[in-house]
Amino acid sequence: MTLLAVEGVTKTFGGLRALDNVSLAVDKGSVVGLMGANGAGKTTLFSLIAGNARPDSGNITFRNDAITGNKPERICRMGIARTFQIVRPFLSLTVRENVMIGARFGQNARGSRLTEVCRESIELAGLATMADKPAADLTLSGQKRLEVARALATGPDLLLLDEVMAGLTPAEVMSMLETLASLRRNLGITLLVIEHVMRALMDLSDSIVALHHGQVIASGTPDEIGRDPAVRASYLGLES
Amino acid sequence: MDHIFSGQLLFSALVLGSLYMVAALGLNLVYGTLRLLNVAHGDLAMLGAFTAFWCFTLLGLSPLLSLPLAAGLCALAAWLVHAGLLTRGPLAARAFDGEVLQRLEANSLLIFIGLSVILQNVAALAFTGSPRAYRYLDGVIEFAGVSMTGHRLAALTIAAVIGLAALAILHFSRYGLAIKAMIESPMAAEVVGIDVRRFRLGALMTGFALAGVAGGLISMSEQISPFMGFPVTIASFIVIILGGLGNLRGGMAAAFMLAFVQVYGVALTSPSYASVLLYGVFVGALLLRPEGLLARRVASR
Amino acid sequence: MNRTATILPLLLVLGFGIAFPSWAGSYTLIVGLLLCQWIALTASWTLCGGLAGYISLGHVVFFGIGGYTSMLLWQVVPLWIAVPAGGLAAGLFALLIGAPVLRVRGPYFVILTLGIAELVKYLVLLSEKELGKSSRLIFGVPSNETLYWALLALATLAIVILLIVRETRLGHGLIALRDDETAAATVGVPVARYKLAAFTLSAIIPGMVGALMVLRSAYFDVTQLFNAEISFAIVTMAIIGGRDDPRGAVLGAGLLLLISEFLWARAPQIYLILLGVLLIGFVLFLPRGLAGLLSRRGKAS
Repeated sequence: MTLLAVEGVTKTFGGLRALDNVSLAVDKGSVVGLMGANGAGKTTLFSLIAGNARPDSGNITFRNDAITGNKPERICRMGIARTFQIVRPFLSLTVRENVMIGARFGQNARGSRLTEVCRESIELAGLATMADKPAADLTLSGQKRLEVARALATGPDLLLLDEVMAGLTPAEVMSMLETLASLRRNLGITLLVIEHVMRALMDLSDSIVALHHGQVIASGTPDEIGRDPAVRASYLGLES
Repeated sequence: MDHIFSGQLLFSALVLGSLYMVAALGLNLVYGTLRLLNVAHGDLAMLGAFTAFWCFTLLGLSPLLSLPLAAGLCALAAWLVHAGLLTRGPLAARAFDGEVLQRLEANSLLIFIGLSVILQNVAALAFTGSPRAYRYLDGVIEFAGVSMTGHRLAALTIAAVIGLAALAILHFSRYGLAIKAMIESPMAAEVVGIDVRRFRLGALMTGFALAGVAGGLISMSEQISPFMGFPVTIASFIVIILGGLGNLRGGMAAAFMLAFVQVYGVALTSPSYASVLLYGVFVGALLLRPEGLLARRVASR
Repeated sequence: MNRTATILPLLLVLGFGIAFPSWAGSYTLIVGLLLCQWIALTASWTLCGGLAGYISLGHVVFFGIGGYTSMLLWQVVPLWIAVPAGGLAAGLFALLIGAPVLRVRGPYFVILTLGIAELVKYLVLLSEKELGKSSRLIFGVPSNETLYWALLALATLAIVILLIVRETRLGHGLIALRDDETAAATVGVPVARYKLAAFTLSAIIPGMVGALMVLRSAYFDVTQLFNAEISFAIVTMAIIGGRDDPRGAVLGAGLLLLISEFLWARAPQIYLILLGVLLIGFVLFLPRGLAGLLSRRGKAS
């Protein structure tokens, strides 16, 4: 079943057309990868889906409900969570407190359920040993995990991950991949993932959508994408 | 009360507009290059006004000659602020992300509020709070049914010259080009080899100096007091917001727009509406300011 | 937040405050009354300026609206109705303007609140003029002791509200959105609603304080009631005391009142200059204020 449907979405900033008639669909329980060079419009698409920005035209539906232009807090409570490419932790709070905000407001958790959700999210993101550390004291890798933990705490059905592997060492990438795979396996969360680490994206995704200059230039299985001439030309810079 | 279509009102509006233009130009320079909302801007004008006043009263020096002195004093103040404050704390931190930047800017504002209060009260302590004035170029020239006092005509002329000079520099000189580049995107400017730090200091000093000059010009025709700065600050803010933050030419046009609204607004109602008009436009401009105007000016990434 | 370290000293101060009138002379009672006033104002301000991070430099507008309401209702209704009416009026005003005003961020919010306070001041002046009331006289002012108890109650209420909000969902949401508004919204915090709640809550008690304080002088002075210096003092007290901490209001108000006791009679300008210097100093070097110092010492052990 289609969980998320993006139809003909366009977004212009000043003179720049960030997204041009972009459409894609995400099936429940799947992992969809989103690839493209910097400036291709991937993060903009996330912002539109999560409600941080409004599309100029087009529709976005989640579980058959139109969510185009809804406020982020509403979309979050409907079941979509996102992480930010440039991490945005609540710096004056600890890891646990950060995650608690997600749980409390994202899914209205209270009392023992609140504690439970926090514990689970922190563990899943691999932050159990640092739960009471101030968010400001974490390394980049830690803060990226915090983004994931906090997003998880909101109890999403769809998780938008924006370059969670950027800046991580290969070992950290492996670790994160494990975590993401288990998210899908154990919690049944649908993932829409932006990644530059191509190997990770290919391994993780059931299908991939390639963006270039705000337009969808290809979509299909990782194998198909790898062979697609348009993708090879624009993204991999190869002549076919 | 002057007839609404009289040349008298037009003259008043032009004079007021030219003063706003000079003041706002200074504020815009500082904001454009440093992203600083200098709330003490009007108090710098007050400094310039008192400089002109004392030079005239004590030394018999014509304000036309003391304007450079006023400019110099304010430029010195800028240098002191830069050396003492801008290299520390929230003002020195560099942030390019919208929200963090805005919080830093809010804290920086507090510093300038503090400066404003200090300036006002130091002046009040030194000069007492009572308003003062001096008489200069008192003669009245009659032209086409409009009486123009010499000092207002002089102020208009000098302000116009400054405006034209500013336009010329912006358009034709490399300095002007560098300033425009810095306002557009400090990061990009640095990358192409503009010594951003030096230009910033220069812009700060020029901006403060312009405030001082505006104050000197105001002192020629208006009463001055240690607390005269605030309305000048507000007017300058209105002008730069309406004209577009960092848009130096837009600010010049907006200066005259505001002056016309004020002069004709008061003529249509009464002088007790002057402040209501001023702050009303101020609040309105801030509320209706399209966010896009700011987004384009503030460099991000 | 260490609960004992916060609440215990506050309880001690409250205890002192209750015992205070039994031994205080008439002059000292006035000082105590003023201290309660400033604590009430600053603690209320902290809801919006500290917890939410929206620094209002125009908080006197709520004080003034409360005072004006009380003034209009004077001798029409008893005091114990007029005072809450003042708070209600201020709260309603905040609710009314909150939505558009809170959409403005960072430093623009700061100067916008300043502009709004001035605008309301001039509007009230205008309306008084149009109504033909050049001056209103107040007869039958409540005793200083009555005022003291009322203000002590308001100060206590303000601090209690601050303590409670910090523990609730609202408080946590506010701190989150203060740190990062976009991230907070993305994880489900109803940002606009919470900001409005903080803004409105922060207006009510100042409204009631204003409703009381307006009765202290024999005649009604709009300029004094809406004096921007009040806003400035509130912000300075909050920053010096510590805007993250309920103890901050007490510390900041206490310190500044102490200083003013020594300086005000002699030279009000020196007091204000000192405020400006302190504000700048604390923003640059001690952003968490005196309360921040206390917490740090506690944590070190």
